[in-house]
Amino acid sequence: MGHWLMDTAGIGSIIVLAVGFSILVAYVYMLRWIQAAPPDPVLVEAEAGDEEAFAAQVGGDKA
Amino acid sequence: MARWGMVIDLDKCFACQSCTLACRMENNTPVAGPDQASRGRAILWNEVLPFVEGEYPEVTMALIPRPCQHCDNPPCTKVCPVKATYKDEEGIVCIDYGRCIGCRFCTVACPYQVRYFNWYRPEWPEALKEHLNPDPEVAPRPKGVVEKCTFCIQRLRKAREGAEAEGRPFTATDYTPACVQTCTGRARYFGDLDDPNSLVSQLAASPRAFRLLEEMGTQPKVYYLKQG
Amino acid sequence: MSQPYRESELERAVLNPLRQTTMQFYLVLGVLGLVFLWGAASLIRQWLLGLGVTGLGRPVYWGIYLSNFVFFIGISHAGTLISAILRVTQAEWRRPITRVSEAITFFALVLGGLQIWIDMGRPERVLYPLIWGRYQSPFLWDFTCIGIYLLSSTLYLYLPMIPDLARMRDHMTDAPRWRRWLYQAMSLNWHGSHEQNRRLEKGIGIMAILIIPIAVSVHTVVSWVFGMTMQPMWHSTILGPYFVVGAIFSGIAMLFIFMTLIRKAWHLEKWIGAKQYNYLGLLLLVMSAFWGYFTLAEYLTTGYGSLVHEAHVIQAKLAGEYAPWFWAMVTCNLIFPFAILLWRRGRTPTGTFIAALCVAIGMWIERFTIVAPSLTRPSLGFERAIYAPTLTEVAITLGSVALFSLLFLLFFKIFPVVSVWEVEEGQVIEAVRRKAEELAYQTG
Repeated sequence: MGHWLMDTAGIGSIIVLAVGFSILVAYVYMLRWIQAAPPDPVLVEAEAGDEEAFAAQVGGDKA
Repeated sequence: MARWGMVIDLDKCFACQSCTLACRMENNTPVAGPDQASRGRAILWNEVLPFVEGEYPEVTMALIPRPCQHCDNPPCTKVCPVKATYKDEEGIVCIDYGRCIGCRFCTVACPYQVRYFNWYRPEWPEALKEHLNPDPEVAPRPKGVVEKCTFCIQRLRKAREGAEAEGRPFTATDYTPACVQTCTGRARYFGDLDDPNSLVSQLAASPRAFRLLEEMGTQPKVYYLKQG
Repeated sequence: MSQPYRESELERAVLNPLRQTTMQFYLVLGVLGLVFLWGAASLIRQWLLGLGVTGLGRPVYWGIYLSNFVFFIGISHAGTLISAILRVTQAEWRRPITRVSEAITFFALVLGGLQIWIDMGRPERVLYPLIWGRYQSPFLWDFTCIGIYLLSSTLYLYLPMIPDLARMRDHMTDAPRWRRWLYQAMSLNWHGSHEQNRRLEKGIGIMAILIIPIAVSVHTVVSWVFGMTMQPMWHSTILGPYFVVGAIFSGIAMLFIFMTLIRKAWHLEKWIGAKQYNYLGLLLLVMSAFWGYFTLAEYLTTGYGSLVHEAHVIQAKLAGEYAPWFWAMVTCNLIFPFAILLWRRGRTPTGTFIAALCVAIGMWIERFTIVAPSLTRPSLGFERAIYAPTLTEVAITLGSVALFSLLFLLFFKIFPVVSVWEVEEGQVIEAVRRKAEELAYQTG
């Protein structure tokens, strides 16, 4: 089995491509994970113009 | 399945180099010319090599004909990235010219220097062009690939076809490489090393028998019989 | 947009070359371009005629192209070492030079891979290893490791660039349209929220750790292309670690060369200064000592034993036709670095630049004296050969160096040469530390 894996034409290509491709996918996932990070909550709410939510977050202890 | 091997009796060899010539005619190796040859670019699948020992005036020289050693444990096939060179079921190390990428890893891995590279497109003088072997199996190789002695594997195929045409079973004696057939001193023997009754396996067991760079563990299938 | 954006001093220094192009730039570009074209023309001629235009023959089947391959892969260690190791150990002074070193890694890998293609007898079959690949061959191990390294170092170059790209997307509105589009696309909607920063730092942290073993694997399998054969003085267990040490050594040297040139051309004296030159100079000195130790270990072991086949090769290197190469290598890699870098006064920009040039040349010679001499003395000792490279090989080698510099230069015509946000982060850390010390002093 070991010899067959090492000595067969094409198996080496599959190993190289499989390793390369899985790493590429992992890296793309990492980039998308960074891209998908939510913006800071304060900014979102403030831009939305929801003053109550803004107060709840920024001035939560005012009451 | 046979395990093809060769025995060369150095007592009988007088270095006439007819093996080298016969090989060239059989296998269509190109003509390099003196300039290219001096740069180590002559392609001679079978070569008679000079081994000089000592310094003048205490000099001895041994002349050893060297075809491919067709190792049972070939270091060249191990390193090939695309399996363009491989050992077939009968122990002959072959090259697929259509697949060779010309990286020359096998040429540096072979300790016997039996592998040759096509530095340019192969060429022949006009007079020789008419005498090329027409067998498609030995058609001239393209530039940029590696080639080497195949024990005239095309002759094995022809011998099998011949036996079949005659309606008789193929025997090991039907198959003879060109260098063995032509050897002036009858110094070369060829046959099946796995057959205990064959001449080659008996000679290979002789106390005179040795192999080149045996300590490297390549297990060549070319045996030499010591001189003297 | 309430207020117009005001660029900091650093931003102006780094971004100005992206806006304005000087006469000098075109001049350098022209010279490099000509050398590159000379190499490219020689390569096309080689493809048309065959590898016969090189100085190769039997038994020296591998020559300068393989030396270049090992050399370029070796200098690709610059990025890993400086960036990853210094990041992991949190050395603050790394900040202004990480981008340069990561770029060296990327382009050196591209050029290294190219050398194998140049060396092939059938260049049109370059993809065959991806179709008929056979894993027992060390070339396939190279394909695997260099492939992983290329992907990883691309990401490792890209990740810390994202915040800078976003900044350019927002503020370099005067850039040509295609470049604005490029910054827009490449900045991945970066908005720099707390969570996004955390994720980016985490990503960079993972890559910094991951890329170190990957780099070690690359330099090791490159050595195994030679080590796995039975050629005298290739077939040695020291070759793997020896190549790793040589890679770090030449990588630092290459970083010195490029960072000094950039410091001068971009006027970054304020950010790349005495600290970087002193610490990195010490590191180069340490690697020189390591390299000397490995060389001594290899040559003494081989020479003392004097096995027949190896004795011929070592003789050729120490006293034969390769002796000028060998002793030039020792001078460049050991004597010059020690003579210059041992002293504090030597670890200046000029001093280290000279030492680094010596090391870069010395390490190329080292690669050459590993590849060629062993092949001139094959085990079956019926012939000896002398390998002399032809003009084609010289042209392609110089063309490769020119292409490497050209890619590097053009890259930094589009992207910032210093990681601006990381340097700023360093400045904040420094300010906070000072303030804390001040407070501690006042209260204590």
